[in-house]
Amino acid sequence: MSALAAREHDDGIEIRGISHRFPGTGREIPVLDSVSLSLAPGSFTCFVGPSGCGKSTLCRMIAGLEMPSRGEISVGGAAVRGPGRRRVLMFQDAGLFPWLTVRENVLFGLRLGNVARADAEAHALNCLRLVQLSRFAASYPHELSGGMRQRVALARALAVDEPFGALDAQTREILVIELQRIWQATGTTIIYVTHNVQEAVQLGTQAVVFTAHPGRVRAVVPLASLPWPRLPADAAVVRHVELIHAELREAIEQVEREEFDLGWHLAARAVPGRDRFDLGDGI
Amino acid sequence: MLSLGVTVLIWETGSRLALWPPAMLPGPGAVGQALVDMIGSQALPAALAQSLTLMLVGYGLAVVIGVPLGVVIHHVPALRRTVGAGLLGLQTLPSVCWVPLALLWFGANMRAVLFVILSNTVFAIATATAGALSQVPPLLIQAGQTLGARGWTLNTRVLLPAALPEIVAGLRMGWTFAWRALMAGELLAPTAGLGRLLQQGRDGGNIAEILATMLTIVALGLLVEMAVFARIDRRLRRKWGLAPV
Repeated sequence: MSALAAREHDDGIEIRGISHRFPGTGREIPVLDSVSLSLAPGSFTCFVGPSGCGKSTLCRMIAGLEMPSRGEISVGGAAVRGPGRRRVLMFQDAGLFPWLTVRENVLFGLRLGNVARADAEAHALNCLRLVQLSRFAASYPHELSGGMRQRVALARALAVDEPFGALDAQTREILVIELQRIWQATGTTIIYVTHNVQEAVQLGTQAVVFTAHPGRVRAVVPLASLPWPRLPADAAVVRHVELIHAELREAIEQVEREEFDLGWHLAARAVPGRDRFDLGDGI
Repeated sequence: MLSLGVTVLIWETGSRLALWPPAMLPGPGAVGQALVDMIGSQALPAALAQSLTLMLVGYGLAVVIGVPLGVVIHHVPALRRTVGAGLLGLQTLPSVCWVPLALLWFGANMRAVLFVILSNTVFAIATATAGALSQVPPLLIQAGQTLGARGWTLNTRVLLPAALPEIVAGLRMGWTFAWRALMAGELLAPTAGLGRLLQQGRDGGNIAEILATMLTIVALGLLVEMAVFARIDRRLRRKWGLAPV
């Protein structure tokens, strides 16, 4: 574990005024609107929000796979211009290379980084140990379960130099505990996208609640002051879960309200002259 | 295997009962005898060697040109729309249609036959390769990019391996294209291959010889299909975790 534990700090992430639109049929669809966030080096940030709030898109932007329409993201002071090894995005369905063994998958990024063969092999094995899969080094991805594949993807993300993990892992199983252990051991800056508020409070140093259509930051809830280990029944944990739930409920209700207004607006145009209060049932 | 035995049995019985004029369709015995004679006279082995050499050179060249051409077509959207569509059109042209042009351009020799092989096979392989690359899941490409692969490494380490099973399917199709083109070419251009043997059989009115040559061509095609392509395909699919076709 030496190479990973030896790193004392990692890069912070600055997100400044990000707005983004997807090209849609007829008109553009706004996904993100003036999102600004500051993630301290070594922090563990959980993104929560209704689906369609752009949290995954934001992760893809930090990873450099997508460019925002407006605004800028910088990692460790350097602006993000494209995908790179300092920022690794973990995909929902792992994204392992099916033609490589588990070991070769983890080695992939290391070999591209001109790490000497023997060092790379040793490091890859360490990363596999970290996710408790060293016994499956010679297996192919299709021989593993979904959860195991996620853990290989985690090991692969950890193996590259100075990893920054942005996790979009809704199918996670054991990953959560794994992730926390690894974060504590490595000091990597992590963004974790989740629908599970309980999980967010137990894992994070802060939680960001998004609203949807377009995605905006509704609240940043600091969690760093909560003592470790955090158990579901701890009073502070329960309080924060409720706090975030309340924010989330507000965010979802806001989406519903806007949906209703939009529906009424469209319906009113389609059926002029009808009483607006009748329309509610039809929508 | 059993159906093959039954076919031979019906064939033999039919010719013994003289259900058709034996001169038009000799029985398996006569064809077998012709086969033995042609092997004995070195005519068949020589023709086989000639055809296989042409095939290996022609197919080899087609792969060497076709695969990179497919990669280029995939990466240049303008080419994909123009050349890609054009190639698809050319593919509908049966290989035998290239023979007159080949004979006029290169004369009645092996170069003409080689041209007939290439004209068809290169296009088939290039189109299949471009198609295979365009079907690589974006997820794998993005995973490769976040791990630091780009440009040449992204192509060689991610795109091509990810597309390999499909590319091999294209190569397999290219082999049958090349095999047919070879026969078409040899029938019409005076080379010394298997196609020439068919032509000689026709000239001499020796139907048993023609049938023996045809059987050899079928056997060879099957052998390559089963011993080479089917095996590679099975191995790739198993390794990639894909369902067998």
